[in-house]
Amino acid sequence: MLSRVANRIFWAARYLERAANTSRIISAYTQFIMDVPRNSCAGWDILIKTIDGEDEFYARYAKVTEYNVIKFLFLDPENPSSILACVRGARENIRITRDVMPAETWELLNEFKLFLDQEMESSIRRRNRYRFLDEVMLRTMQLSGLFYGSMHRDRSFQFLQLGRYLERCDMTTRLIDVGTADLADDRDLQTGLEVSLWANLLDSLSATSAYRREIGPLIEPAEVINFAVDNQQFPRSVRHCLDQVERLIDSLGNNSDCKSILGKANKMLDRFDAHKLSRQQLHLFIDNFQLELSHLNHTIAATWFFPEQR
Amino acid sequence: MPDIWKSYSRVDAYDELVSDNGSPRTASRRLLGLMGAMDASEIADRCASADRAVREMGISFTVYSEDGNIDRAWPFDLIPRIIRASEWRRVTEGLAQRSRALNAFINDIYNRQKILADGLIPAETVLESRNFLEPCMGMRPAHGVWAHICGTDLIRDRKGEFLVLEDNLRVPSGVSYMLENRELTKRVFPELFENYSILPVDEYPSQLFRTLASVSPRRVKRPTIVVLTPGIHNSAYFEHAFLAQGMGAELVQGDDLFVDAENVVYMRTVDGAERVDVIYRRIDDTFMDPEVFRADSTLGVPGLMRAWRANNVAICNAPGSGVADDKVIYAFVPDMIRYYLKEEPKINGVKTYLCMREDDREYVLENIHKLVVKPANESGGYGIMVGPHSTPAKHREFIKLIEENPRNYIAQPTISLSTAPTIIGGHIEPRHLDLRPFILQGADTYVTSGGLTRVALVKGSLVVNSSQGGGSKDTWIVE
Repeated sequence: MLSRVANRIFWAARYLERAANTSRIISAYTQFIMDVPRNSCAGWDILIKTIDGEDEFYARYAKVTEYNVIKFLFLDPENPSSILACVRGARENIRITRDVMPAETWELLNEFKLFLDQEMESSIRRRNRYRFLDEVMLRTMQLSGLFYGSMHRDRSFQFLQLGRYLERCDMTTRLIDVGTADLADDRDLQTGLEVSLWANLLDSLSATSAYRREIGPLIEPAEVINFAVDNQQFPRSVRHCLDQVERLIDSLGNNSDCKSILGKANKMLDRFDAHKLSRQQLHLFIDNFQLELSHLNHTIAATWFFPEQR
Repeated sequence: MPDIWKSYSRVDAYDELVSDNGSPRTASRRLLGLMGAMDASEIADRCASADRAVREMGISFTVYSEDGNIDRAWPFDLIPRIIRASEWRRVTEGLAQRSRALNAFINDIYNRQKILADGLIPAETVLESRNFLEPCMGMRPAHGVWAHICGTDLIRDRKGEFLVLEDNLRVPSGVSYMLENRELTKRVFPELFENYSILPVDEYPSQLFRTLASVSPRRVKRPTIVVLTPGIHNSAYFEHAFLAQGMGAELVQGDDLFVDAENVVYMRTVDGAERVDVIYRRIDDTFMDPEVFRADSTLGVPGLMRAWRANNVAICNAPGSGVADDKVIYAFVPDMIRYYLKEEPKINGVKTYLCMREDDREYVLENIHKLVVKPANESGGYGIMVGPHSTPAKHREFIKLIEENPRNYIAQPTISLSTAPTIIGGHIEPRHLDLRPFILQGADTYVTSGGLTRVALVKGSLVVNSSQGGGSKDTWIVE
């Protein structure tokens, strides 16, 4: 597999995963906000923080309104996490690598793009939002299904998976960070609201029923965080994603630099227990962990995408 | 005939589907019967599903313009063009013969130059052509083949005889559209296939692979073949990706490859450097290697010519093949066939006046309003003047151009290209078309079953190039 192509596939996978994540977050938050008392401080700006989009947002929108935020997340081409930007990004990358992907990939992405063009604008309001987001998620699942069901387990599949799990890992840590650092600091929050907030985190990760079965029906902040960080079986937990990344990197040659970063990240996870951490410490943990992820991302690029050859 | 066909008024040209007396030709009877039973709304429905399929399949081509490059949906006409297999077999023989002669010519030019010494072709027309590349002298590629992939443009005259209009030996494109057109017809008009036995076209990528593998310098079981593309912004990128995928080959850009000190070509992969045996290049000669040709080229691979000359890699088509892709040389192909193969041409070309010859030039200048004037070296339909469709000012402009640079111009009689029924804004009207079959030459020769039919969508127009508003049709060879 060509280095250039591996890079493209990696990014196509990241964008597709991100499109699904953005949809899931909006969908869960829209549900959550309906349970929040009108005068609470829980606003739509949380979504902007989650995706790290403050700079892009405030540069172009005067006010944080539901409409503006959803528009920003749906179809703002300047926002690299907007659904439109993600599907475009995935499509552009697949366009360049379509010769190594299943033939249907390109077709499904074209249909996806046409669907966005037709439905996006009219789905910003709450009335059509669910149906739209559901369909976005279904379409990303359809693509994942295509990859799982028909891709040869060669390098292209490995880099696809690598992109997917790194992106997912990144998003889970962001979601936890928002819960810890921003909202929960607010002493005004009612206990009932805090529970909905953590329930919202589980919803954003599609983790609610798995949590209930494994931990129980009660939403306890530290338990929720431990589940999202360290549960090995849950496919969106930081631990699970990192295990997958490690498995993939093990299958590639020339991997010692990446392995040593993974070793550090794994040690951080081994020592982690949300029960013992203050919110401040939790925030610090997430910060440090994200640094390792970013370091890993650069090292992957330097090792396989832009190698030094004569 | 039902409503939709009533408006079909033939023009003075050979029609592919309808005979001179207005009845369907034998091979097209069932097609026209089936389509004739449809009313306008059903036809419109099918057109809409074809448009949708084109968008969903992402079949596009790029048009260069001042406002940047535009990706356009592929213009596909629903009504196939039908050719009888018995007739096509004769054309196939003529094309294979032509390809053999052209390759013998290129091989001769870069080696002994016998044909020039024997005075069949004036030496300066060949050696002073900008398509003649000095760095290729003395090379003998495998099987003596230089142009492994040839796209030959055919037209039909008033009587229905197939004539060669030009041979494209540099980087001919269009074959992926031939394959996609068939795919589209199958999707949109599946019932047509119940009534016909149509020769399949989808073996092309594997035939291409066989051809390329047959010229690999390393005798290995599965040589590493790559398709070298200038990149996503090239108008034929879609096709480059399509063919790479069809062959299971890597689609590479210049900077994916490098040549080491031993003159071996490698590609940069996630598992380290991997040796490359055959390069199917879709970039022009002069961009291929900045060490030898244009130093400012960022599309090519430094050292590629060294590797080729050391016979460590095969390049298809070989550098320098364009020396036979020249509208002046075209006029000499029948002579080449007699000279190299000792055979009579099995397919004719169009009568060609060479402006470099005094008699011919005089005739051209006097009759410019009747003739088609073409620059010798352009492709894509650029720079052509169709006399009967041009203004006197345009005629004067070309007279001046010819007088300034006679070597660079040829002229041919205006041949009214054949027509076929084409759906234009809900009606069916005759439109002119041509045909580009592809000829593969390696250890063996292969000719596509049919080829890419290109249609001039503008009424009366003879310009079929997609970059200039042309469309296309599925082409059927039927038993």
